[in-house]
Amino acid sequence: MKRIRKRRGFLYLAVLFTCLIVVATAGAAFSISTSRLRSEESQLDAARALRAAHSELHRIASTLSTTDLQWRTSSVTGEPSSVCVGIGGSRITSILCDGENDGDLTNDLSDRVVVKCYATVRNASRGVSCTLQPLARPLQLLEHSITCGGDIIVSAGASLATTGSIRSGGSVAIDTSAVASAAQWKATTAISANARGEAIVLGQPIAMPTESLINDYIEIGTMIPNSSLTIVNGTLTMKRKRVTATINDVTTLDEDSIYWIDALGLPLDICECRIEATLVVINSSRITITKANLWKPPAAGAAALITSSMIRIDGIERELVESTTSTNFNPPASSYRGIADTDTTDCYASCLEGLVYTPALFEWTANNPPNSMVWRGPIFCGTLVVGGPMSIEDDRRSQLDPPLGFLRYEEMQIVRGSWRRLDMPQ
Amino acid sequence: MRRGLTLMEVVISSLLVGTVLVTSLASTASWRRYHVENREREIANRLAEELVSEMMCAAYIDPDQSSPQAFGLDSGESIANRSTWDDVDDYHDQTETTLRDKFGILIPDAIGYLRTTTIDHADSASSSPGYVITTDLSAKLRLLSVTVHSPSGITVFVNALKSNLDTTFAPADIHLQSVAIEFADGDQRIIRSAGVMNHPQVNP
Repeated sequence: MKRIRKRRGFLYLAVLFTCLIVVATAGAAFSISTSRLRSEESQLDAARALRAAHSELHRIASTLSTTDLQWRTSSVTGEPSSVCVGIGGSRITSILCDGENDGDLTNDLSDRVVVKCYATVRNASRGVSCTLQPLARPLQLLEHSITCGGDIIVSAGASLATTGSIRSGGSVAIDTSAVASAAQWKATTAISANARGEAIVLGQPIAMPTESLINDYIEIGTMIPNSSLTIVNGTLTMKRKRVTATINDVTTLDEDSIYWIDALGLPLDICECRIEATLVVINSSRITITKANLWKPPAAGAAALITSSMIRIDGIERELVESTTSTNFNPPASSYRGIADTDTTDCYASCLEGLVYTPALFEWTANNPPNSMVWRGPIFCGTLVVGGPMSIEDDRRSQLDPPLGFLRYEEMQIVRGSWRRLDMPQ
Repeated sequence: MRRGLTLMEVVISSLLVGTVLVTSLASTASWRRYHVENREREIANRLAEELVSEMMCAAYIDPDQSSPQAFGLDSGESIANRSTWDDVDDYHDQTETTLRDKFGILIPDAIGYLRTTTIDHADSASSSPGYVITTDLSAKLRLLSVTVHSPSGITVFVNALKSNLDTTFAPADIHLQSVAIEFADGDQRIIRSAGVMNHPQVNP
């Protein structure tokens, strides 16, 4: 009886045990198989996340260049944006960083920007970054020989001539006894009927470069101390000085040949100088360029004179004569057109080349036609008053190679070779 | 008389074994189908991703043109040879029934798949998903879309955005690298390609 009882239910146990083995084996096989699938899905998610981050980076780059010109001030450098939905349903966050490592996006419009984008698709996350470089283009106003933010007035008996174009942000008034000719006149409000050349009244104002560019020059330039200049009858005078890349009578050499003067509210006269530099003048009640000068910028297209003060051209002379000035302007340390000597027997044609900028009045009062000077380069001024024979040679070198402050940064460009994969932030 | 198995024991055991067997067979069949579909989905995704990578490395506009023109192939570009395509809009409205890589090599594991591409102008938008399709030719973005249909009817859709600021690719650059691996038994051949994102500075 006992043996019979022991054998009851034996098959049930055997079957149940077999079922358990079958189910466990199936479960193990399922787990192994799904782990491969999970791995494949994870790889696909990672690829989707990478593509989403890449796409978002392109999208942000296009936004920075077109729709949000204030992004430099509205973005906090290094701060992640709020999470948003990106392409393919991914969760996206992005970070803008200053590419120049000074941590400030606003201090320089030419600063590079590093854009970082992170995307998450399910459990997979990927990050990419690239560097955007503002694409500098020359200011369109550089195409003109004279750009005047306000009015241009050509007084009685005076003349204004250029082979280039003239742009006024106000009106052009030419006296009936004056002669004014240009290839093209463009003005915002009106142009006198006696202007020679094509005349176009546009109606729209012009955006002049702002005075802040003066500080940009001062930041990188070298100061000329007032003590190296003389004061004559209350006028600061820079006379018979040589300021070139290799010789400097007024201060130490600047590697960029950019020099600045704080005139302390005094008028400044510049006469009988050889200057191959950019001169920046602040706090002057008036700058007068007079007699003969040999003035060129440090490089083709660069600025010759940058100031916030009014500029007057007065009493100019045709030639800079070494014997008269008792100054050797081409010493061995600084040859002129490859020629140097130790005597004072040379003479040079009086000239001023390069860009001149003032937001104030530019006044040409020199009225002695035989003693004219060569003026080659664009003028940017607030108001132009011509009281004598003024002639400007059209010079497009500033347009080809714009000086500091005369560039516009409107578009961004992805810097070649700057794509990077990123680790996800902790 | 009472030795051995009762009829009831045999019947119940047979029912249990039968149930487990039927369930296992059904699961196996279902699993097999699921596995095949996943395999096809994986291949379809890879085919789509690789083509999107290829398109992301193409120029925004034709290097021979200064401004965007109508989408599609330009003169001198052959529909049968993508190596002659030099800008992203060349990929617009293209359908492949025999899938090849950019260099014209047949992709071995893509037989029976169908791949179509479309390009749209797009603008950035503040609302999700961050862009809107537009007809504006001067739009700063392009939406690249690739759809792949597998032999069993699985469809995979992949898209990406490309901006006109990406001038990092010069015509002379190598835009795409492709690798083919052949196994020793000669049965299997794998081709994988990826876009080349970074190039040395032209003027370092």
